Amino acid sequence: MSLVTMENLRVTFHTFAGDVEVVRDVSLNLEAGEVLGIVGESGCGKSVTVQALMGLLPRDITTVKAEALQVADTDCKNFGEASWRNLRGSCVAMVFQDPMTALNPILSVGTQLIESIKLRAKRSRETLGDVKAEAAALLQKVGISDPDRRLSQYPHELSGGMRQRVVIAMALAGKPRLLLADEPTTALDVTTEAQILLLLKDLIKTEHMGLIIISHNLRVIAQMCDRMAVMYAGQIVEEGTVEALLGNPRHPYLQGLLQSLPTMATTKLQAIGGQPPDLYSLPMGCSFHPRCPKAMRICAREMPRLEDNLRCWLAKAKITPCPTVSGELLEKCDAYCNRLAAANDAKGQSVEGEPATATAPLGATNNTNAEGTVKS
Amino acid sequence: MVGTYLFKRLIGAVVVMWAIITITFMLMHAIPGGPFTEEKKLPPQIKATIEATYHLNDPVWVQYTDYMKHVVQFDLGPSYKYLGRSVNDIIGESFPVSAQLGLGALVFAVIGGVAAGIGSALKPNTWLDYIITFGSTLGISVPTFIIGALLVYWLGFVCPIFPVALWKGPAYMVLPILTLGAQPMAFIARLTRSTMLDVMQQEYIKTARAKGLSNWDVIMKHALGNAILPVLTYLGPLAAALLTGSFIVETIFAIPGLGKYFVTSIYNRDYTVILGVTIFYSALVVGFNLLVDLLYPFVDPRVTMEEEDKS
Repeated sequence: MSLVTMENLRVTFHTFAGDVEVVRDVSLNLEAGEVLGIVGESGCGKSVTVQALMGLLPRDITTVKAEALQVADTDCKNFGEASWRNLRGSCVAMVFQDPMTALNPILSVGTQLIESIKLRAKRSRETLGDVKAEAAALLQKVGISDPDRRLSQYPHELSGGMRQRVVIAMALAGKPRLLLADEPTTALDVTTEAQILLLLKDLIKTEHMGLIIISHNLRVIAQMCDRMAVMYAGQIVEEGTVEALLGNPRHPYLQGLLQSLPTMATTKLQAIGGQPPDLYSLPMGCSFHPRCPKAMRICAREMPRLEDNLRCWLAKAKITPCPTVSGELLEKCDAYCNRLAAANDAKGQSVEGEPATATAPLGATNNTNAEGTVKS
Repeated sequence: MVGTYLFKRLIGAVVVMWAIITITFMLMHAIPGGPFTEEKKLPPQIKATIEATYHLNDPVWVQYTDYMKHVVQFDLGPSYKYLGRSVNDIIGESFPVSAQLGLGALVFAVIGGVAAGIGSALKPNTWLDYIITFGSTLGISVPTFIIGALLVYWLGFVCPIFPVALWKGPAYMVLPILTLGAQPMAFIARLTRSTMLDVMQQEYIKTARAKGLSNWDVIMKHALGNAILPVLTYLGPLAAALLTGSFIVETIFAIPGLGKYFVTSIYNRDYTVILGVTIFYSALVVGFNLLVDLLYPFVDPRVTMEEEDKS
């Protein structure tokens, strides 16, 4: 049985400005020993999705709905706070983004670590000495030297990398089967980042845990993950193995992300134009279409479904005829896409497409009216 | 380390005390009139004799140096108005009363204020929060003498549960403590509420919840210690103010405390009492602030007493 089964997760925030759906129909699967990466811009719902796996979202202002939600063989679909609490630490644990703020500044490392161990030790009746020895062993496991001294130190006395190791040790204390890492290295410098990632990778192997790692950084994902999911505006837009997605990105958003990666030869940073959408007033159709260089008229009208792990009309237009699009349009689309691809190959970079912005007269357009879709 | 820190702070305290004494002394003498200026004029010879007895006809700087000589021996001099009593006697008799009242009010204010603040912060925007916020706003804005009068009316007159005046035992302390503690309690409640709301948003609270700690443990072990820090800072001056008594509360409840001397000594131009109570109060403020600063590192390990350690 898989470690995580999540089907059609929907998370709504109730705010003063009204309800806003921040996660829409997200489905995830994870096996033990597998590493899944989630990438996307800030505010795309990555963290919220992961927090929903621990029941960490504040109950009073959020509604979490899912058709299925299983974590570590437990059905959590209708869990209350108390049931989640039993699961946290022992089945699922979390490594937070910023080790500067994730540790309580006024409690010693030992206090915070032992607290985690005790939660589990209560059941197996360990003595205080055992617990302390275990805390030291945990620190050693995450690569902290002189653990006995570190236990009596306070977070502000440790470096950023050291603190993140402590956070990881705390997460491991309950011997969880699933580890969630919410941008675990964003706040660290590159050298420390590499060390922490190596550590996480080792731990997954030795402890045979599942890991879901959130990152802005495609290089981190490439280095760490078996599979990855790309999120945009609360939806998964493409999912698959890391090799497939990074080697042959199909969604224009992922293509854009990859093109904006700087290399040594980069003189000017590439960026995806426009802004992430306002979740309160999402554009009609595909959420990405206002920024998409390859947007077609249908993209502005109808939301593509996630099929073959891809949520994009472009691919569907090529693969299967869509009932709402006429044959004539499809041919034009096809031709357009082919030309784009050719131009892409030739130039090796993005081509100015014809963006179908939200200002296009959407309602007025008829299905059979293909004129204007592609400027030829 | 602590030794050098303490030494530096004590030197600083002495300088502060000297400045307070000097400024008060000069201001006091700058006010027209003196302790023996009465509506009914004394015969000039008698006045001259009295002033000679108390050395009031010496030049001000001579009086100043004389006074300082006595102060360094902890002798605050005789009162000019209360014949036969020294300022040390006055403080010695009335301070214990004020201190009892003040300590009661302090405990009441801190426990009540922190509890109310936490309560409203944990259930923000609920009826509990609204009641506490409304109550603390009232507590801050309604003057003490009105709170005192209302308490006397409701708890002493309409439902006569507590005695309304004098200082003869525990039952007599209830109304004055409530009156004196109301305003600081309201202030502490607001302070605690805002810091607690802030602390509950912090990442380490999320970490604590992600560990699987119960709500109670998250609040008591992780949130409270951080939320209490600003309250601790406020506690130093508050303790000094409450322990030295309040003119208003002592007047309403006819309590023989120190508070009334702060006001009456000025009417009376009772130079030594003015200086004496000012010195006493200042010493308490300086002392309590120092105490709070010494306690701070125990609550917040990021604060150290070593000035070099800025990292």
